[in-house]
Amino acid sequence: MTRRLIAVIAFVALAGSVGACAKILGLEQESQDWAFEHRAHVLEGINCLECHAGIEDAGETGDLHLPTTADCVECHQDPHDPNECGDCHGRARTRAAAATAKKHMRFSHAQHSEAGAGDCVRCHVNVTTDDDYARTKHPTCFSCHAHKGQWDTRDCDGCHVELQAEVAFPESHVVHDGDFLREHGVQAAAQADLCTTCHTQRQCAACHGITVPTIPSRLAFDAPMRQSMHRANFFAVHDMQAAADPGACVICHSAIFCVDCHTREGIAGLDAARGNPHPAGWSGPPGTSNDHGPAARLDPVGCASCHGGAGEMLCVGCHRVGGPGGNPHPANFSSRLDIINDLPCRLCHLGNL
Amino acid sequence: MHGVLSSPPSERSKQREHGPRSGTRASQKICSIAGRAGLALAAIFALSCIFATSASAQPHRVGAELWGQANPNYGLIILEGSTRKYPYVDAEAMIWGGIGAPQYGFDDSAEVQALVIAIKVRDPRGISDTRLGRFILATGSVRAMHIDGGHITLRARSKTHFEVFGGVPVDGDIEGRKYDWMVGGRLSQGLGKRGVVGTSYYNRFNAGQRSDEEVGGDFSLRVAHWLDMAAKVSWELVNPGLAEVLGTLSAQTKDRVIRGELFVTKRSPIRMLQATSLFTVLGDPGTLQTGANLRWRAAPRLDLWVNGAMMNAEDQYGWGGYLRGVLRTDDEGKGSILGELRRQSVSVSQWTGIRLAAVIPLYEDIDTTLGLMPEFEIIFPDDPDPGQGSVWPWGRLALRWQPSKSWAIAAACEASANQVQRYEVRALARVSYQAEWPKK
Repeated sequence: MTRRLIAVIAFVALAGSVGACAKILGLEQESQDWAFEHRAHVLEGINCLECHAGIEDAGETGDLHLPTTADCVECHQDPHDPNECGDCHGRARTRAAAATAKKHMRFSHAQHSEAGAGDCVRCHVNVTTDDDYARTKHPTCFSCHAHKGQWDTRDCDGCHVELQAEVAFPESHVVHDGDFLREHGVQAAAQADLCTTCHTQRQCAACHGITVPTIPSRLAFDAPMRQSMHRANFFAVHDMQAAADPGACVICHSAIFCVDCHTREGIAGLDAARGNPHPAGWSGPPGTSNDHGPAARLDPVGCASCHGGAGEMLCVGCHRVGGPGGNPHPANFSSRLDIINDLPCRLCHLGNL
Repeated sequence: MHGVLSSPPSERSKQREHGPRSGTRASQKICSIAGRAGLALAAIFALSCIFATSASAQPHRVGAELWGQANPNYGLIILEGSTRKYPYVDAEAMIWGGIGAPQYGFDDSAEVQALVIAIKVRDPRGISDTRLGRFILATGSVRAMHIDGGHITLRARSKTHFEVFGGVPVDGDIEGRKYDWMVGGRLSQGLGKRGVVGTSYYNRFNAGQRSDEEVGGDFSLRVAHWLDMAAKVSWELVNPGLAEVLGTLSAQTKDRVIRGELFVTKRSPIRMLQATSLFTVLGDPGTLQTGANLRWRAAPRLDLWVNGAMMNAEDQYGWGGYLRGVLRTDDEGKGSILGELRRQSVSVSQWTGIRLAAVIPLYEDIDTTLGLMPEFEIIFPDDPDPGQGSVWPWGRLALRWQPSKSWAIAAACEASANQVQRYEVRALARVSYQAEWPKK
C-alpha cells in the first residue's frame, strides 16, 4: 500500500515537473489564441471583403478593418462561446503586428486594390495556408513595382516610416541571430548602407565614438542582456584580455589611455614610488641581465601601452650612438624611412647627422 | 567607497602623441566648422518640423537623459535629437555634458562634448548621398573611425558604388591618440541578391607624416538562403604586412532552430599603432582566433550557445570559449534569465568566469512597467598575484520604472572586489525622457 502511494506521488510529482518544464520552456502554449482559419474561409469561397469591409478604400492611416464579433455572427449564427470571437480565433500578436505595419508603412490599400483587381491573395499569399501572418513579404512587393531599385539604393523610406522603431529584422540571418558583437563588424563592412537603414549614427557612436561619455554597459546599467565589448565586470580581466588580444584594444585605445588610469590608481604608470611593474634586472648597464630587451621584442604593444608617444624617448635616451644602450642599428642596417623627417629616426638624427 | 585611494592626476596625462606639426590648428578649424554645422543642423531641424506635417512623415525625436554615479561621483546630461525630411535630408545629434571623476578622463571641471552631429543629404533618385559632420565612418576594410568630415557615396545603375571620405579623426580628451587628417575611398560592386564585393583605401597622417596607409578588400555573400559569408582584409603599406583579417561563415536551418558559425580573426596590433611609434620597429605580437559558434533554440523560450576558439597570442597557443543559456520567462521575452560559463586560457590570460543575469518584470500595464535586473559575475584567475585575491566577484541590482512611454527612471547599486580594489560599492541612477512628433 505504501509503495503504491509512493509510486502515485512520484508519478504526480513527475507529471507536474514535466508540465511545469513544458510551461517554462514554452513547449506548452501560454495563451489560448490560435491562428485564424483563413484557409477554410478561402476554400469556402468567402470574399475577403465580407469580413474586412472597407479595406479596399483604406489609405495610409485609419482603421485596420479587422472583423468584429458582430461580423462573425452574421454567418456563424450559433457561436459556441459567449466571449469575443477574436479572443481565440486569430492571435493577438498578429493583430499587434498589423497595427505596427499600419503605423510604419506608407501603404494604401485603395491604390493597390484597383491594380490587383480585387485579388487580395495575389499579395497576401499566406492566407491560403493556416498561417495567419498575412503581411506581404519583400519578394511579392518587388515582383510588381519599381521597389527593387529602392532596395538596391537602400531607399527604405519610400515604404517604411521609422524602420528602426518598426524593429523589422532583415529576413537574411546575417547578423542578429549570431554573436552580434563579433560578427557585426565584418558583416557591416561590405554592406554598411544596409545597416544604416535601421541603425543610427548614435548607435554606432555609443561604442565606436572617441567622445563617448562612458561605456555602454554603464550607461545602460539596467539592460544586463545587452552584449557589450566591456561587460560589467570587464575591469577584472582587462589586463589579461589585453595580453590575449592586444589587437582588439589598439583599435580604439592608445597608450595615454592606459597610462592615465594606471598612474591615477597608483599601479605602475609614471608614479614609480607607488609601484614599478618591472622586476629587478629589468634594465641596467651593459653586461647585466637587461630583461627588457627580449620582452620588448616579444610584446612591443605591452611596452607601448605605457611608453608610447613621448615615451619613445625612454628608449632613445639609452639606445643611441654614444649612449649606454649602444648603437641601436645592427650590422647592415637599412631603412626606407626618411632620416630627416620620419620618426623615430629624427629623434636622434637631428640635422641629418 | 573604495578599498584603495586614488592618486592625483599625473603630468603625463597631458602629454600627447603629437609633434610640432600637430592637428591642433586643424582641430580649431573643425571646431569652427562644427559650430556652423550645428547652426545649419538647427535650421534644417526647424525646416523639417515645418514641412514634415503629413500623417506618414518620419517623426522628429528629441530626448534628454540625466545619468549619475556615486563613488566616484560623476554626472552626465545627454541631449539628443533626430529628424528627417524624406527623401532629401536627415539629421541627428547627440551632445553631452559631464562633470566628475578623473578616472573617466574628466577633469574636475565640467566638460561638454559632441558625440554625433551629422547631416545626411540624399539625392531623391538614390544616385548619391552625402554625410557631413561628426560621425562614425565604417566602410569596407576601413575600421570604424570617429571623424569630423564627410562621406560621399555615388551609385551607378550597374550596382557599382563609389565612396570617398575624409576629415579629421576626432581627438578625444580621454584617448590621447591624435591624427592630423585622414582620407580614403571605396569601390564596391553589388552582386544582385547575392551580396557585395569591394575594395578600399585610406591613410591617416599624424604629426605631418603618414601614420597609417591601408588597402583592403571585403565581401558579404548570401550564397544560399541558409548560408552567409563575409570577410575583410586590410594590408598596411607604411609598415608592410597584414593588419587585420576578419572572416565569418554561418549557416542555419530553415526554421532557425540551429545556427552555426565558423570564424577567424587575425590582427597585427603593431600595424594598428601609429607608424610613428618607435615600438612599431620592434616586432609584432600578432593575435589569431579561429573557432566555431553554435546556437540551438532548444525550446521556444530557451536558447543555448556554445562557442570555442583556438587562440594565438605572443606566439603561444591557447583556447577560449563559453557556454551560455538564455531562458525567456514569457512568450514575449519581457523577462529572461541568463547563465554563462566562460573560460580563457592563452598566454597570461588564464581565467574562468561565471555570469548570471535576469530581467524580472514586476508590474506591467499598457504604458507602465516596473522591472528588476540582478546581475552577478565571478572571475577565478588561475594564477593571481599575491595580494590580489583568488576570486573577483561583481554584482549589480538595478530597478527600472517606466511610468509612461516617454519617461524612464532607473537606479542601481553595484559592488565588486578585484585585483585592484579589495572592495568597491557604487550607486547609479538615470532619468530619461523621449518625445516624438507627429504621431501617425
